[in-house]
Amino acid sequence: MLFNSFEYAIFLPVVFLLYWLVFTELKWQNIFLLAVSYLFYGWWDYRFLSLLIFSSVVDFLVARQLSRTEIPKYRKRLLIISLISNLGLLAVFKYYNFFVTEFVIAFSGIGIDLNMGTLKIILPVGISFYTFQTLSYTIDVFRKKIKPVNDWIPFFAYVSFFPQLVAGPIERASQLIPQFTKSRKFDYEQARDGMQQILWGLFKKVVIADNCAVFVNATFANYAELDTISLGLGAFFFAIQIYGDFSGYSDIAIGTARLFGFNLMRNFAFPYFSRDIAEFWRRWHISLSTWFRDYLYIPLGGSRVDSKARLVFNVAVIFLVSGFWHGANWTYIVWGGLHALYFLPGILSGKNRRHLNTVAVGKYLPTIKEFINIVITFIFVVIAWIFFRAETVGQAFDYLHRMVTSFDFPVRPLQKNMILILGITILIFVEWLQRTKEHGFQFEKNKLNKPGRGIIYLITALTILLLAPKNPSVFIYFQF
Amino acid sequence: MRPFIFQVMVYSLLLWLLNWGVGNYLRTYETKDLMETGQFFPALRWQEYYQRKVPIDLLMLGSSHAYRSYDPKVIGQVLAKEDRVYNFGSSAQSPLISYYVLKEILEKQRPEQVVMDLYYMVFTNDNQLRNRRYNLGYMQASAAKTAFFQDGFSTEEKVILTAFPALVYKDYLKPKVNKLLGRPHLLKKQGNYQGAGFVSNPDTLSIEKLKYQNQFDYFERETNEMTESNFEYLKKIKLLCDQENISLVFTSAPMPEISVNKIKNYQAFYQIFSELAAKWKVPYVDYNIQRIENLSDKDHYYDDDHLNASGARIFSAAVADYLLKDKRSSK
Repeated sequence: MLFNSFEYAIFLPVVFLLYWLVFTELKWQNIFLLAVSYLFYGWWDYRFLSLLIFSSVVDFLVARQLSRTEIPKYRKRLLIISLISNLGLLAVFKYYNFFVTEFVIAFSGIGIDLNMGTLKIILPVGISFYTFQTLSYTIDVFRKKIKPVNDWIPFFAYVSFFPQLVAGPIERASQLIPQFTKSRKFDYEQARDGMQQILWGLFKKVVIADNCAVFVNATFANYAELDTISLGLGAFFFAIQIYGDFSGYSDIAIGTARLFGFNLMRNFAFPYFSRDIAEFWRRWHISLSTWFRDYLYIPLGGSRVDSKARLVFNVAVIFLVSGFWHGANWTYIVWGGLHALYFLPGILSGKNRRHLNTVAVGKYLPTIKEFINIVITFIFVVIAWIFFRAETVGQAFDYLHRMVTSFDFPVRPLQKNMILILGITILIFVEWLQRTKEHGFQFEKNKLNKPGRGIIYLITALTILLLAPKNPSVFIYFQF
Repeated sequence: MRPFIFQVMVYSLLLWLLNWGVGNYLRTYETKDLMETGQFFPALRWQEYYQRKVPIDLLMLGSSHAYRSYDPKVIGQVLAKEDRVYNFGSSAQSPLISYYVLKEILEKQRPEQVVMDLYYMVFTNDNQLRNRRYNLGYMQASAAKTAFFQDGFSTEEKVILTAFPALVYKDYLKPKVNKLLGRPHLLKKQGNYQGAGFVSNPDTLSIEKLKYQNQFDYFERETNEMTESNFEYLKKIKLLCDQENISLVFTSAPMPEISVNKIKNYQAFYQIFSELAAKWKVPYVDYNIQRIENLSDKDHYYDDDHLNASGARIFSAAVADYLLKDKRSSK
């Protein structure tokens, strides 16, 4: 079920009312959330519910066993069972065909024809997200950072919680499970803020991202015949599209969770206002970056290592794995590699933590230096996005090559997309003004009165109705 | 919780009212702007139909190939049925739409014959809300209209059509904004409404464009994309005609030969229709297979898909001759 679909417009209010009015006890609320989460996931393809349940069962049992033993060898074995089960699912469903194809190509290069068949399987939606979420639980229990839950219902509900099930934020057990085990009371302010965040998320997804997608798809499909302006605009629109799509999804997810009395972690913190790449990675897909930091980068030694070579290695690993997590394609690996290259100068010179605060706090505009830094960082990010969006690495290089050699600057692509450019300008303007807040529609009551806020909400909702594409489109991150 | 639910309801109501106002304003692009310039053919067709007093003997159904190719005046003259021929083709008219158009006609009329133009493209898509709405929206209240609404639209579409005009007419936002800004806002004219449902276009497409800028260069439709429900409704049309004692004829209007040759599997589409027609004992002529000699790609098409005004005259005379012969032979 898509957040931007007719079904979800029925599903959400019905579930909301039943949850607060009928299932008032904690246990029943959890059972109800589990049931509707499975319904939400099964709406797409009920067969893949088995994988979700399998992953939940394995980690629930493994964690319980971990709490019953102190023998290191036995505990390690239990952890390995969880790792193999979850990463095994990913390996089969997401990476098997990629490795088989690459092996066959590699061996044919040295004259050996391997006869290995690929699997005809589709990628289960959200598999990369919920496997990472359950893994974090088992690893934290293994590290004795958290205690395992004894009741299976809150745990299963945590793994399958529908607002964030298919595309995150990837929640930590220590943050989310306690919210399932404590009684929840309806909080007006929390619910109201949730609705505002949902509205802003829908605007980013439906009005901005989906309309950018039309131009982006056409540009990447016909890049060989296009000029500098069109290709530049295509790359710029894709940067906006992927931000609108993914941060829009996260806003809807976080907002929905707030309607049910849950607080999910922040996933985006206005990343395109970053002054360097390190800041960008503290603001983009925060739940994944921190996952890799805590479960991969730090165990590798992080930045507290003896040699610079080891530091380069650790940074390279984390970015390449992060790229590969997105999909079984060299384009994602190159995207990750590029970001590693961008990131390394800062960390090697010890300047990667220069910008921990929000840019130009208390001011309307950034300084010229801040502005230049923001633009340069954005350009680097856009270049990397070209690899992320292209079908192949070769296509990405061709695209870049044409972008800087097909010197033609027709105004037609700009004129044709004036309404979209206006929409993007509004997006940037609102997010700039709200950059110290949790999301774009978190208004301060003393700065904007109630009728003013009401008019903004109504105009936004009407714009969503009027500018939504005819068929709801899938969120980009569903494929990862 | 009550204040929250109350607030959500108030906002929902205000949004719904806003949607109602804006949607109905956008609708005037269809009912006023396009109608006043004679460019909104579905409404013109239904309006003329409800005003006419003369009975209809011969009815045409089908897609744009139907309403741009079969000239009722020419056909009426040859068959000596002047003013008794009506073309009820409409853009991308699928068999489902044709069926309910026929049902609506049968509420007041008893045509002797129905000519159904078969265009494979409309068999590959059940999904075009706009084209269904064009007919539903301009039908008068009747049992056929109610049945069309019940059968022809999903629950989601029914909700949208009933309560969300802003969603229904949102395509008109851009031309309406252009109009408000004093910019050109009308669509490029796609022909002239000639009455009795027929639309003719006097333009002629150059051979170069036919050869090198042809939509069928990228043609990738397969016969397995033709949906079951479209064949179901074609069968319903056949049964309805049998039941009402109406003679049914299948035809396929000609496309430029260059375009047909670009469609690698045209023969397979033809095969499906001809086998079906043989099975149901319905006469079928595909004028892309049995080509009319006088029609040339150079002079008789206004785009890579449709006949122009002079092409339609030649074709209509040929169809009328065929219907005449068919009638004589069946007697």
